[in-house]
Amino acid sequence: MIEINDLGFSYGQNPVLKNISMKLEEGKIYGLLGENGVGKTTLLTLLCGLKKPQKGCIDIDGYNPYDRKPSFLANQYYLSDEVAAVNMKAIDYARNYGKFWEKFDMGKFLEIMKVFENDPEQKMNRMSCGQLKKTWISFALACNTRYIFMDEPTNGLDIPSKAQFRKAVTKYTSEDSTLVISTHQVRDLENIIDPIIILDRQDVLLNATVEEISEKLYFDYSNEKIEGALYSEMTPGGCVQVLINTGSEESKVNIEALFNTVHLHKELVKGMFAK
Amino acid sequence: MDFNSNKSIYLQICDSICEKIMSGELGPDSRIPSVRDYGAEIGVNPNTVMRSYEKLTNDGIIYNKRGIGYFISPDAKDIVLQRSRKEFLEEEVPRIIKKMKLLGLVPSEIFS
Amino acid sequence: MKTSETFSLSRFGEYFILDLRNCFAKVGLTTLVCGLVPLILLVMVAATNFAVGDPSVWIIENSVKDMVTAVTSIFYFLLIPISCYGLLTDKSAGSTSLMLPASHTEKYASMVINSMIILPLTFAALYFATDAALWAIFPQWYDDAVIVDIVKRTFRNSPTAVMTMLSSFFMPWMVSAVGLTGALLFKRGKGAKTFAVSAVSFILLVAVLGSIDIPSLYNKVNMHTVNVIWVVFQTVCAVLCLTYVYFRTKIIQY
Repeated sequence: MIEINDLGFSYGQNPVLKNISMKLEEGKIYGLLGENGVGKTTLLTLLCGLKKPQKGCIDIDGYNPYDRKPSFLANQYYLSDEVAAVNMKAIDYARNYGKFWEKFDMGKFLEIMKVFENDPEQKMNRMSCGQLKKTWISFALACNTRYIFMDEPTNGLDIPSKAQFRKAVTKYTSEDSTLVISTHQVRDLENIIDPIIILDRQDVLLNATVEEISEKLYFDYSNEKIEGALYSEMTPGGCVQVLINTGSEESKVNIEALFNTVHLHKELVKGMFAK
Repeated sequence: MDFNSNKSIYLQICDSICEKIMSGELGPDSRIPSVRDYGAEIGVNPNTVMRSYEKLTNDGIIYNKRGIGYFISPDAKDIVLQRSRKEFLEEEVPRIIKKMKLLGLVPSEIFS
Repeated sequence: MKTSETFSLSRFGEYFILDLRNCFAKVGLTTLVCGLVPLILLVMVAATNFAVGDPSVWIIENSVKDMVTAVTSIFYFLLIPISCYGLLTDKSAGSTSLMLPASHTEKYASMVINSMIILPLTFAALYFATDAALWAIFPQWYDDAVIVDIVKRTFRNSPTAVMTMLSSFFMPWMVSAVGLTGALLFKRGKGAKTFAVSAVSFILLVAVLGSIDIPSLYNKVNMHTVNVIWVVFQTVCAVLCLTYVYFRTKIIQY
């Protein structure tokens, strides 16, 4: 379990995270959403130990990430937004580096590379940006770690690859793995993330499961304008409006509309979902 | 699976399974994939599939054999048929009637 | 039995081998070229002399070889750690390295052993072997092989010979340590900055020492003590550099 308590971090005079507290449960695929520059990368780098909290603390299974203890590092994988190329074949990289993660599965690595239509025999520094990203994603999932932190994994992937990514994540994540995937392109992670965390400047606006969201908010797709809608938007398919769910009816959660609703009514939503 | 409908995803999954029961693709006592496997097949979070399976279990359409998996109930087809009929009569028919009135059509023009 | 968080021999072994391979991939060619400098020197001198003078008369004197050896060594020892470990200050490569499941102690030990012991020794072995081979093949063009020269000078029948020998160069471990420090201290232009800072520091040191009245000191203190102080001073510098590197890599953030 990940426990974040009153976390604070600033870059010089510029505060990025302030009083951030939340609990992340095991075995879930969390979507960490937020606009650019809101602190998603900062939060992820704090969680994996690349940065030291300036205020507050993080506890992951009893470890303090910044201690960077090997047994903690062996239980996690951090996939950065910026992919580095290595002068090695993908398969050689997997063979040489996989052994540092106890549960690394070579077969799984090759299977996922196949899903991505990526050639493991190719040299990584000869790959295109998208192919390189997919190689790193394959490696990350093949490590079979308890925690996987992915920062904007769909950045640089073309549309078919994004679909392959969703498939790879749902198929190859084990039951006891906890994933935290950040993105500013919410549609890329549609249907695979649950619970959803929405981060704003120095604030957690939302941390709830899709079920909880659909209990409290109603998403209307009819074209009739409804009074008191929290948010409405014209989409190619018609109109989507978001209202407070007064009845027990459930609707399909439209993540983009949810995102915009939450940003328009920050205090209201925070209050609705406060635990 | 195409998630274009505006229904909750977990309900769409239920519908998809019910359709396969109606068409005979999934026969009585046949096994359906585990929550994880099915989620992986269609690219959906396991939580969502779990909700679908829970609903279908509550409705008596599937049953769970602990440690083995989920199976289609022997009388699933009947249950789904009844439910679909009810839904058709209570929701789709009134909509069709409303539209017919809007377009000025009479039943004899449709049903020969 | 639970694996130690600070040091595990098997985990260290795996990491060390990987690190070593990466280093050789980066600087293997450089090491080879630097090790073959005696050959390059011979070719250059021979070409000049054949073009200009009488080929039967010239010879490469020890003093020339000493200078070439010193310059090549300093160049190699200073810049190799930067080539191998400079990437640790880069966000992307540094993060990957930091997140690799091994302890800080293991990573540090591997870095020090590779950049200060293994790579320099490989270079030295190659250099001396090349030089000795050329001296054996073309004895008429050489005075002594460098290694023979060093051995002669070290084991001259004089108790202070070892210290004199050691203090006539920069300590190899100090130069490597300085190189490693530069790799981690500077973000850009590491090679140039490290060399510049080292050169300036050395010049300042010489200037400071030069202002001390040596002749009057000479009567009170003998050369041997001075040599010892110089060697100790360099070793202390090396230790300070290595301490800096230890803590810098421990608390680094990306």
